[in-house]
Amino acid sequence: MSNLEIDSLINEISKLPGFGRKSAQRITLFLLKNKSKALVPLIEKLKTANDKIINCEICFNIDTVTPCSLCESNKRDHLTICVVEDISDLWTLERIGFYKGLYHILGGNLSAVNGIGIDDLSINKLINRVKDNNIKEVILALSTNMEGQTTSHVIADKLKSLDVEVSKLAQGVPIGGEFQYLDENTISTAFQSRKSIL
Amino acid sequence: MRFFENIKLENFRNFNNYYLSFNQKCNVFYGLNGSGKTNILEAISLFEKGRGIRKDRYENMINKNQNSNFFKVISTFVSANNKIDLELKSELKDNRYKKIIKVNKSISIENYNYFENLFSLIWFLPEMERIFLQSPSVRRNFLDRLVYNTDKSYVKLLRKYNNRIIERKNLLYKEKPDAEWINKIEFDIVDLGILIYKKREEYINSLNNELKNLNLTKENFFKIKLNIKDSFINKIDNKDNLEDMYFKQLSHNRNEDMISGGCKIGPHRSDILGRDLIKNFSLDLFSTGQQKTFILQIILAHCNILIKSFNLQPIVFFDEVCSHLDDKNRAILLELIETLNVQIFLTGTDNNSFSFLSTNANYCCIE
Repeated sequence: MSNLEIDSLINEISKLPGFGRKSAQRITLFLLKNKSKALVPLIEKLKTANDKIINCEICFNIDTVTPCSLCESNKRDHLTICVVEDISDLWTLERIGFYKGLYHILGGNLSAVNGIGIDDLSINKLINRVKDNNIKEVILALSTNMEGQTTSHVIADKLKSLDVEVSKLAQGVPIGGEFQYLDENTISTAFQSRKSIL
Repeated sequence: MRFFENIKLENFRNFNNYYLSFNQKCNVFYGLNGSGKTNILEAISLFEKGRGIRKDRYENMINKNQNSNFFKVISTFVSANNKIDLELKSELKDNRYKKIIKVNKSISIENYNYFENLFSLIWFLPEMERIFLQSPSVRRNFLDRLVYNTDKSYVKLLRKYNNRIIERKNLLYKEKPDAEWINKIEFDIVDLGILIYKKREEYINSLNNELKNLNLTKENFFKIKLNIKDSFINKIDNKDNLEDMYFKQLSHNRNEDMISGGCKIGPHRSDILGRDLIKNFSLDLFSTGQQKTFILQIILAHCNILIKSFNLQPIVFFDEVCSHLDDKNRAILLELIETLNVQIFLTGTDNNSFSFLSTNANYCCIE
């Protein structure tokens, strides 16, 4: 392996999210020093992932089958869909484990500045899914930044004409959070969304 | 009294390693052109949010002769006998330079927010002498800076509003923009735009009141009044339906805005005009020196507002202030220096130009 090849390997690894040049160098050296224990199994896993892992045609989750195991599961509530931006959000909800409905992965948020429009996300597929499957509730679990709020609003507007309840996650004081450290927007939203405890 | 006690510059602009201590009231930096007087003001201004008085890139602030890839500014800020240690350093991350500020050796946002709310920087730069002759955006930015001094969250509001305007522009370029999407963006523009209009109007009203109070106490001051000129908001008499009318107008302008590539109405189109109430002339018709007096009067009134209404400590920069310095301008400067508890930094090429100041001023020759 010439220096050029090592450099190009480091370069490819440094393109992965969360990795800088130094981390990429460390990983490259580790893999090259532990070929049989680390590099070969990694190549095999990557090949398997490339061959077998596909997007679910219904919810856009990743799995080895389509529809995915979540969409096919009989133990889940098939009348509720939770809309998330990305697969990592689905994993977060699944790790916690209290939500037993279905998912729909949008693939991002609307952003005209970044060239992400309605057709680049799975919004129209969500609308059709709600129409075709007699869905009773759509939970919008998107980011609370401006793009996330816009996307939630657009989806809610598009679902308005259908017989479906549309909800979004609550915003306010986090559990275990100290009040004095909260920013003013969070406090004002928490005040507006306060509820009676008696 | 709150003030910057000293500053230490490392690899910053033309300075390799430079230390300067400040007087809590009046500081005069004099020296030849290019000696770095404004650079010191710029270094202090970096402790506020943004890229400082010059709005330059951080990489341009690094001293190129030293073959280093960072600059550092260290200072002490004094607030009611408490000393706050400040350290500002440039950092290269993802091929972009940014600044990291440590307040009392911590980079926590709570520490910075606490420090940020102790003072407000106001500056007068030579180009501001002709502010009433320049483009509306220069006056708008000046007003926004003053509003930001009174409300630090204002900059976030402006950023969100500008983001929405750009988003709408990009969306209008699409062949068939999605109706719900563009409606939502325009709703956001209406909400944010009205907030900006309100904040500017509230500030202009309090500024005009303070200018009026100054006129009552100082007979030789100009009697001036500022007002906002806006092709949309000025035409609306009944503001009860402002939101509806704003939204309808935005929707109506979509085709025109698509062709022009902008947004025809909104606070980003406002202008700030002023009139002399005695002569009933627009302020742009006055001489350059008189326009300088208007700005100095505005800064004086603004400092009064910050101290009286917001309990904020103004810290004022006057860069190259000596040109066109007549008796009126001197009177305003002296008023700022002598009667208000304000830390002031003045720059000029010659220390003799500042002979009207009291002997308590801290004179620093920058070489």
